[in-house]
Amino acid sequence: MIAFIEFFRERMKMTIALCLAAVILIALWGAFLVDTSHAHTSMEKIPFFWSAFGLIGCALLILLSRFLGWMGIMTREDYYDD
Amino acid sequence: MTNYWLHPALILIVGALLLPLMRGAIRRPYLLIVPILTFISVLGLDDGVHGVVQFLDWQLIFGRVDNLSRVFAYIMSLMCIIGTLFGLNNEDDGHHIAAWFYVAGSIGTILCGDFIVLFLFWEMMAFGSVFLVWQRRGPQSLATGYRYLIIHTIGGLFLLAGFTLRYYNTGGDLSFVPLAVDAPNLATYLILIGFIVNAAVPPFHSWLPDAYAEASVAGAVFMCAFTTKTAIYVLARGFAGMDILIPLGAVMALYGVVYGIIENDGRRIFAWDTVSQVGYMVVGVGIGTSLSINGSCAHAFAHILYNGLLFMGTGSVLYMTGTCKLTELGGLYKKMPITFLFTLIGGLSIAGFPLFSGFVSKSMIITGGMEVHQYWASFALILASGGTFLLAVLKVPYYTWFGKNNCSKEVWEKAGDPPWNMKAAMGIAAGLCAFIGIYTPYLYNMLPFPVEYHPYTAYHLSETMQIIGMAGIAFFILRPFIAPKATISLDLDWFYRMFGRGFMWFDSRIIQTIDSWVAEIYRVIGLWPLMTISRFWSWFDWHAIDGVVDGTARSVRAIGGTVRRLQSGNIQYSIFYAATIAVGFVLVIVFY
Repeated sequence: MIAFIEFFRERMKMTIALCLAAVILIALWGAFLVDTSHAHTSMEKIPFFWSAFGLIGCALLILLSRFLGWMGIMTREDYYDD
Repeated sequence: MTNYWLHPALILIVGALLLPLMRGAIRRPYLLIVPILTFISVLGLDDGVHGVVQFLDWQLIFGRVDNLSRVFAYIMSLMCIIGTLFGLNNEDDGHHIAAWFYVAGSIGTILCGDFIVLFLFWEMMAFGSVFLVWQRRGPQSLATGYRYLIIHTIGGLFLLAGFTLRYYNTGGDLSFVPLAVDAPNLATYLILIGFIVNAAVPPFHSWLPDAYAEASVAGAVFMCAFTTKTAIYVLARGFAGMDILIPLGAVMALYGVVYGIIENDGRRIFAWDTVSQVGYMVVGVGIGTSLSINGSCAHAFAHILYNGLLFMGTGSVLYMTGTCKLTELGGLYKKMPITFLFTLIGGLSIAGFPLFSGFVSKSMIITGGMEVHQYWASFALILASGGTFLLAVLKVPYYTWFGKNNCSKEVWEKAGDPPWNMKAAMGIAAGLCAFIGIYTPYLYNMLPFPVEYHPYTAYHLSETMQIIGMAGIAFFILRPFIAPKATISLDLDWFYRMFGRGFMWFDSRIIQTIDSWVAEIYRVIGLWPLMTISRFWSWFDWHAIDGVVDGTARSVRAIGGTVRRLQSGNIQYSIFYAATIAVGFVLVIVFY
């Protein structure tokens, strides 16, 4: 198990490239090969819809959360102690 | 009792009461046998109404067994075995007693058929679980426990007010059946508030991350399973199709993810993830079709296992190293590889990765929403599952097991895989998470309605894999923004914490001042003459009466001296004794 993890950690660039390739292949498969006739909305039939939804959605979630944190939700750990 | 039907919760209650007698080599086997017997008794439940008791004017129903209650009772009693196994090395009897009473409360609520019995077990859950917070014995535990208890007591009072009003409106109906969700009245809303406090629906959710992150290591494993999912059961029973639950649940699913992204404490992140995941189930109940109710039940079932697994994993890190703050961890895969593997399986399950349990359960709710054209809610839930992947598969594992090693020398030396029982409990939960994901009939055949849903379609696979892949890319690009920081997050609990503080200020400054004036006046005017007179009567009683009669007062004083040692002055111990006596009292009334 540890050896397995270290194999990939020592080859970080290859690992990243493999992950990226997998994501691209999945996106291409979803866009051109999968039957979308059972989709519930017409939006879902746009090629790469779910990839775009995932990327933009997750990026917005992260940025929104950090923005709210920056607005004052994130505070020092001893806030309630005094 | 009208027949010899054995209530599964009774096994746990009696088992808990007998636990202090079990010592030495018999204790650990006993700890496992009691929950296993409970599970077996749940497996043997026959459909129908059992355990009907005539109490005053009311007919109390302790055992209503049907498709809905059976699946929940099954998973609750199964989780009780796993949770007890995880805490097996805990030598404190108090932990196991509290946990079993808590589970008994949950199973009792699930099997009840009327509101009085529901209320009884509902409160047993709250009072059992609060001890799991106190038993952490950390600097915050006492205050957190009281906040938890106060919130649940308030929720319980809403429920009490609701069903009392309903009893009055309907001319004496106490049965717990689907309520009129199309034409809700005040009683319906009061009961709903009582239920959604326990389901942690915003704005009543703050107790959850507060309590789960402060609970003891093994206590949190129990807490993360029972309260919210029992609430989902009662919502599914009483409020299926209540429209307002759809937006509430969708908001909840995203709210939890947003707070999880900015949180630093590993267990608190999963507590926020719990809020998010329960949001799915709340949406499913709100939609109220057979597909979505099936989805809520399936997701509750799957959630109890993977959430328990995640709390066991992060709990093991806390147990071994003394911290689960991501800013104080990193690189632990070398020291805790087995814990890493199991926690990753929990993460993949919660994120709905194909071949794991979340994939086959949460998609039922989303499809159910799409079918009735609830597009906003459905897309919100899909987005939340991307966010869950960010948290449970990327953020927590990355900063705990990989990433920059921020461990102090002490943390690094203490780190290691936990004792065998903890690993075994995680292994069972992880195995079930994968089994549910691979062999869908196991779960689907238990659901309340016949299932015609197939999760493994090319379209569903491609949709999920695209979102997960892109979540990974978003994480990789935006790592600086999701990296943990040593902060805490303010939430709606700010209001009641500050209200409590204001109340304490008012109490300690103003009421206290008035009180000391009154005491001073009383001391000067009233106390001295009173004391003189009573000293005389005391002397007379002790020497004249008691000496002459039989020495009763001297014996009573000796007993009192012994009993006094039980009184430590801490109110939580008094609550413990009072709760134990109350349960014993109820048992005697009901069963004899």
